Amino acid sequence: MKLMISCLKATELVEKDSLFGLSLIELFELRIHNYICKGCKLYETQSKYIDEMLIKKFSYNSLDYNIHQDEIIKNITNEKLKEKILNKL
Amino acid sequence: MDNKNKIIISWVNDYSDYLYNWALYKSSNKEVAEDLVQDTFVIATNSFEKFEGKSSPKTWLVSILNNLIYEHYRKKAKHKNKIDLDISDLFKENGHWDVGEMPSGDFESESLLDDSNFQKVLADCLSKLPDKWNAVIKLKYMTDQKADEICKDLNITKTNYWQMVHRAKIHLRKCVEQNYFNKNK
Repeated sequence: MKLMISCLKATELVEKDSLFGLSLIELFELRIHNYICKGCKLYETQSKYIDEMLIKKFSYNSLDYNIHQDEIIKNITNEKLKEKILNKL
Repeated sequence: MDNKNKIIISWVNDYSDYLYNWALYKSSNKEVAEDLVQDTFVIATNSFEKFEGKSSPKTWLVSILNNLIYEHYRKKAKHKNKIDLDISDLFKENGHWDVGEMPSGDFESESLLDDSNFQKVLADCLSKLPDKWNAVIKLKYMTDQKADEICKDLNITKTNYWQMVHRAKIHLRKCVEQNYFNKNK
């Protein structure tokens, strides 16, 4: 175990954690690094926030989140599309 | 005109716009969204007998659409791509952040994070990623599938998958910081 991993490695571990989880050693390495390195600590916070936002947007369950606001999901009427579909029926 | 046709026509009139906006939201692309909605109705027509009225037509159609969206991204994620998303411009040889690349900004004070504006910035930044990485990132969040299963599905190793997600996230985060957080300063 390295006493101090690099910033590149720290960011890799953040992403690995979100996918597969980390070993105890990896967790320890990451925690020590982020305790000392402000930039990487911020990376972790921001990365997790982005994860949350992406889950809201792309999860199949996103119907549960109240995202049907005009600013996010639009309310466009697409008559041409309807015609296209109806013509092919 | 038989009953089935009448029903499907009414579904097109009632739900096509909703489905289109949903697909547009998920794909950020008009042509893709239109194709996905058309395909949804083709599938609905062909498997009409399977719709037993257990859920509402809208729910059923959305579930077909969601599967098509997933397939769309799965194809993109599997695409053989010679270009690699590089991160050597963000890090030095020794693994430290390159000059000016270290994340900065007082995140904690962004307590009034505007979700809908953030989503807009996020969508723009996602579209800047090369197709394959864009798809890999989205797939991760789409289903309840565990990362192991996604690897099998895409036929890539865990390391490969993890590296792709890492590279995509590094660029995504940078773009978001530049366009969202720095704006508020």
